Amino acid sequence: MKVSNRRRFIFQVTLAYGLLALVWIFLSDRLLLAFVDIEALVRLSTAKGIFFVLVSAVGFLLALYAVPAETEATIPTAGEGLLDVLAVQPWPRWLTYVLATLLVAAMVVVRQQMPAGLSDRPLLILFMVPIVLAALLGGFGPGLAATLTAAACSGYLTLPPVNSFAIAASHDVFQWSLLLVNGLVVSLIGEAMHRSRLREQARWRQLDTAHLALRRSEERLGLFIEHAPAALAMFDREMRYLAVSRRWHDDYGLGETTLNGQSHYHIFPELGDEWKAVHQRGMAGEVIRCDEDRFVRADGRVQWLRWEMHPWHAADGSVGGIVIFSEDITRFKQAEEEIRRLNADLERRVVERTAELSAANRELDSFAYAVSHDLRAPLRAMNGFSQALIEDFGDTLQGEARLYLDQIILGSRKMGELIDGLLTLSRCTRGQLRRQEVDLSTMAAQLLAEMAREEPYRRVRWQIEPAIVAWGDGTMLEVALRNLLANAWKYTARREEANIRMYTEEAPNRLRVCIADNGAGFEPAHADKLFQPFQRLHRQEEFPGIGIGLATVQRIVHRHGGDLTARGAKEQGAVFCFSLPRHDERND
Amino acid sequence: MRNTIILLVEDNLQDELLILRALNKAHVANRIDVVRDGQQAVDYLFNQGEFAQAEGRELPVAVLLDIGLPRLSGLEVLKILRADQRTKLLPVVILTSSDEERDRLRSYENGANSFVRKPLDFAEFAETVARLGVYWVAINEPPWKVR
Repeated sequence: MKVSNRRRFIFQVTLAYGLLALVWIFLSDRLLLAFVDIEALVRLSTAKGIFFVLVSAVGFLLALYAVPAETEATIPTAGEGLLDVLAVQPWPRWLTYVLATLLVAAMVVVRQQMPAGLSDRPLLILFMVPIVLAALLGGFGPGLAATLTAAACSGYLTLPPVNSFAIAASHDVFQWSLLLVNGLVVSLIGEAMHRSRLREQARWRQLDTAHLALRRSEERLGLFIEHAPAALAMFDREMRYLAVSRRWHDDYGLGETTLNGQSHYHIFPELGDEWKAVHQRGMAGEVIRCDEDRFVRADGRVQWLRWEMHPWHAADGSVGGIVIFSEDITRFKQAEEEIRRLNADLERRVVERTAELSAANRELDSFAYAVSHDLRAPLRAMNGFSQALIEDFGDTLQGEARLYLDQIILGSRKMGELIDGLLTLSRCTRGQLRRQEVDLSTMAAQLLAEMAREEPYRRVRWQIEPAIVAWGDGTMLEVALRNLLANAWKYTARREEANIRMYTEEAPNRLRVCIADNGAGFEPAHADKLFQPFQRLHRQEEFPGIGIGLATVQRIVHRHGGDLTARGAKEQGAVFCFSLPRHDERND
Repeated sequence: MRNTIILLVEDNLQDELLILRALNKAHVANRIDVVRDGQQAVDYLFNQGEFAQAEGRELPVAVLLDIGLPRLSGLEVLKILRADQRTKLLPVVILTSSDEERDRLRSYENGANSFVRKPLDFAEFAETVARLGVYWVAINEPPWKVR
């Protein structure tokens, strides 16, 4: 559009020039008809040419100055452009004076070349042309200059007596004075016009600047809203979009749809009456917000929104419409839902597992109970009747019968021990864990003293680090400690100088207690079997036992959330270390 | 005293045999009545059911009661006995294979006078039973005087 404006101007100027030139040629040539003298004709023609060149040069100057810039949208026609140039004067003021003088000079030449019939009369009216032009171009100053020059030239050259400033005829004096007065008046009018145009121009320029500033600010605001990192939309009273952010498009999947000017309800047909009511409340001046709202879209999709609605006020203070800010919290909501679901699932599974576990525990319980009752009775019978046989018929037993009966008794006794071991193992982790402070040092000393009483013939030295205090179930820890110390006691049986040590080792957040002996030890290759029930690393005749002690210790330690390790070597003694969690106040 | 009765409630024949032998060896000469389950024990003590005709028989001086019994368990029998005016004070000794803490506690809670575990080893078992018999028949004074 802007380019075509410029082209139109150039075209108009060219056309105007063409027309004026044609008119000039026809009119001026017609003028020449009045002359008969060839010499005068030639001179007049030259003067006419010079005048035309001067006028057209001025015209070109103005036209070129008035060519609108490529980017300028205003100044639609050539005429306005030219007038604007006339008013604003893009050239220096002295040039106007020169121009005024030149125009007058040109007119003097034309006047002097007039044929005799015409030059008889003063024809001072001719000078009004350069004066008017000069006044239009430059206002009062150039107008006055042209007037004075014209008056001087006409007084000297035209009005008789010629070549003198004196004027003979009184009607010539009158005409000459009229020229001066007219010139003065025209100059004043020119100045007034000039000034008013300048003022108008200034006002327009001011308006233009204001308009531009407004447009820029609007553009900036538009950009600000468009690129706001939030879903923002501004509506008028009819809920038509005035401005909207990119994020709004994205959040509601609106693609590239142009929203400005469109009705909100047209864009979102799924908005029902309850929403319209909310918008109306906003229009009434209320600020409304909602932290969590379900928005069912036309395609059935569910969006979760957090939104806020503010009325905006027009210049007169009335509500011009509303601004809606919204945030799509669907993903947040989904994540929340997922967490809730996972939690519920987890809880359900924990409940299930707990139920399974307690069922398993109950089963184990009744199993152990049955074992303790029902397995013992037949053993008692085997043992008892064998014994009864020996007691009642010992005298009559032949050969190895007595020996066999003894083996039955031994076997049943051994099985009794196994059953007891099994029960201990199953019991040690049953029931509630009652944690309290347990003085392991004192407990160990008592247990060892007890063992020493039972086997007074053994020479055992023990060394116990004082004040080892554990946080655990006293009964269970005693069972564990008893087993470990009994092992140390048992496996040092063949040592002249048996040594048992109990001490603590450094461990982060744990109490690590070790029990070391200088006994028979074990082959490290078989260490993994140590903690399995009924697995033994020594033959029965070397060291008797049923292989349940360490399994029991391990279960107890695990039950406390600790761990049990063993290191040792064949005939090099063994070290068993268990670690227990320290007392944590927060877990109470 | 010699004519007083001991009631043995035992479902295991082998245990019964061993108990009777041990009592016999300890020269406990009392009449020993044996019943095989909890219901029988209750019927015996209250002269009802299959023992309805035994009217007039006096209560035993002590009851040796197993826990794991058919029909009514030893603990249930104990509860019934303690709830009835006639047998509220009857000396009851729980004699069982169990060494479960909860059995022991529940026995005492329900008013058992004594709780004895049957040892596995015969010698020990015999001695225990003999002591029991002697204690409850000869040493212990029952709550009521025998006619």
